[in-house]
Amino acid sequence: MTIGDSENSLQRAARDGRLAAVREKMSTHGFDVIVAYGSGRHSFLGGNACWYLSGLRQVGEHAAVLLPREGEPVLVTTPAWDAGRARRRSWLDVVVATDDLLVELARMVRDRGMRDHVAGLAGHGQAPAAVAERWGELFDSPPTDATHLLKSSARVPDAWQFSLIERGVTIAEAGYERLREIARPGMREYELAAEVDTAIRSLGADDNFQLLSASQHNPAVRQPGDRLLHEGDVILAEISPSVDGQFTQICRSVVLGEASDIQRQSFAMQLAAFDAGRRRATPGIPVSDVAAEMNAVLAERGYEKYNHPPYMRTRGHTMGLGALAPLDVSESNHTILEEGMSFVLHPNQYFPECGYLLCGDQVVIRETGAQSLAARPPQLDVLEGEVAE
Amino acid sequence: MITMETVLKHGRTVWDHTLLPEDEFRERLVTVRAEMRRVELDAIVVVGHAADHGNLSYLTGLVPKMGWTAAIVGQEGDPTLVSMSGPRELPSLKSLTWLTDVRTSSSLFSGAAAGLLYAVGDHVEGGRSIGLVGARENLYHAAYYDLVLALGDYELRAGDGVVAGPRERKRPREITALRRGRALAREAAGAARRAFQEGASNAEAVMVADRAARMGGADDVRLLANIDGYGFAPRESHSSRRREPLVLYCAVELAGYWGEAAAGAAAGHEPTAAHRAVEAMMRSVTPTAPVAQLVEAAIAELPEGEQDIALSYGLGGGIGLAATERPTLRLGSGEYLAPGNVLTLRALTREAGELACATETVVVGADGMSSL
Repeated sequence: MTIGDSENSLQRAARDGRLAAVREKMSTHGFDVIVAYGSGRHSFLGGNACWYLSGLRQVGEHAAVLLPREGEPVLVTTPAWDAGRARRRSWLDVVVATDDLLVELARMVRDRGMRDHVAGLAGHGQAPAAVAERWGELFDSPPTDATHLLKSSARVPDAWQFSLIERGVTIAEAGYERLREIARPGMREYELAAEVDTAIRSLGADDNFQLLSASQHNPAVRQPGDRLLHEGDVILAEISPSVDGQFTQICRSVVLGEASDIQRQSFAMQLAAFDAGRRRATPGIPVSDVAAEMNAVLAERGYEKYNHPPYMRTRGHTMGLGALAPLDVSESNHTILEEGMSFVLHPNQYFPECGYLLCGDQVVIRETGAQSLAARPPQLDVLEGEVAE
Repeated sequence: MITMETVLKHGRTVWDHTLLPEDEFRERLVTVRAEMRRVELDAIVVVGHAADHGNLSYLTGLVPKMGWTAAIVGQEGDPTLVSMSGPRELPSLKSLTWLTDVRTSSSLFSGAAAGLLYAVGDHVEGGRSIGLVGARENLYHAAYYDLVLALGDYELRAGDGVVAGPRERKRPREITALRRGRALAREAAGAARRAFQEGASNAEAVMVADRAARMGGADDVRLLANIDGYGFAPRESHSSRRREPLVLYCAVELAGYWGEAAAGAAAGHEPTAAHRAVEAMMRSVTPTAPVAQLVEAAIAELPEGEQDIALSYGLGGGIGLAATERPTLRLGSGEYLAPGNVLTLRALTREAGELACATETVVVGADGMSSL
């Protein structure tokens, strides 16, 4: 096998490691072949099985890797016009681009003599009914669920994925620096969002889950609207670049003008919760304990009511397209943390005295706790002296 | 088909009351309800997605930014909106639609069935007929089957045509929205062209177009260009390499409505195959022309061996709350044009080793066509 334009040793190792790990589990579970499906309606919270095995962030509606236990894996992606890009960016040697995924998969299965194989499906939960209803046409016997084969090997990012995460955090921080440079009264929210988005995409992000809004009292964080920034506003920014399909996130709050005492006190509480969560998040600890630790910091100060929706959503979460664990950081998630797991930890929530605040970083689980990957830790930033209109 | 979905539409997010006021949506509702009565549906459940929101946005004004959102429309009363978003998003959602009955899911990961079942029950009694619009396409398959099961007390039928039909003939305010979208796409493509003329690389010029569109209020942007020398590609990383001339396809979504534009060879050059294909399609447009006639006209102008890829990009079709909607320009289409259609005519191709792109947007009238 060769890797195209983006050849490097980390990517090669990721490809070899992922294929070998999944194939080993295929043997254990008796699968001859698996079809790893990817939806082009990407989720920044969820995994994409096709991306995991092909290294390609698809631009079309559907894609899949046909992975036999032995022999050459094949990437079938849509649309047909994306053939050139897909061949250059995927780490698989055999890449076919088509406008009809199922027709092409059926041809592949037939031509390679796989119709009577024991087949599994991974990532197929994201398929719409029109695709799901045709899986059974591919093989003599209906394929069964094999998503768990990928989940067990994708819990912890490999070195290539981790390098993407690190690059993503660097880009996110640069985007936030751009925000701090240019935010000023009189600017509209969506204009500031456009400038931040341009900054991070110029640095190599291929997508961005970005919420950016501002208010004197934010009820939540949301997409940018027409509001004019004004002195005293708290600007909230969830900046989440994707690099080669892997998302990362930082969550920041910045006051346009002088921060009030109550804003500082609220953010200090939030930061204390963040730090408590980081200390608690060590290998072997259930995710629920981390969420409980963060919630306790706020509850002790009288904010227990605000540890629940609609005042917050979650204390953190995995980031697509690669990570499949530990999902949401909540008290109902009992997934055990493992060294090397990476996700965003964020005690983002509403405070009745000053509104919603954001405070969070992409972290990696180490023996000593969750290590923040950002060079500049979250803080309540203030753009003082720059707010005169 | 041009796709390239983002995980979240993260541009300007507003309900433009001045362009699309409440009375506009009430008029649309009258039209759709007449269609419901014609096909004997007591209610419709319209499921939209950030990637396929046309039917939902047509009725509610909301352009969902991520995942699914649904509207339940009965024969009387205002519709109900149900979003996959959790309750934290409720204040923001309410500001983006004319509807007042807006509900959220208990969490981002809740299925559609439970919330929709309750809302349906508020509009129509068991045993009545319900049309499902977009549910098969816009829900994960398990969620779709759960919804069908949950609505088992109703007579369920496919109802897509009930909204798609009225959408084919654009209303005056929709024409205005489309004209604005087209103008913004042209502005973005022009900004890229100027940046390229001033020395920017192809990849940098694409970023200039992206920024111009977003600064102009776009809620989504799709760009393809000759960045890497192989074909049209989205910009995915930095490159300082210049490839003459810049060939760019630009689609922007403004207030939910799409507009397209292209940048290519400088004025004075011979028309490219892409331009000839678009012009051939324009010549074929009549108020009742078969869609296949436009497709055949375009194919006749495309270089040998390039037709299939041009069809894969798509030759266009209706444009509105989706970048490509009915009628769709595809081989073997049995559809016919009709007055009120707004069409994007598009060709992305390669000629003598060089990429070429052209687009035009036209309004089909009773007496002929006009450029948007």
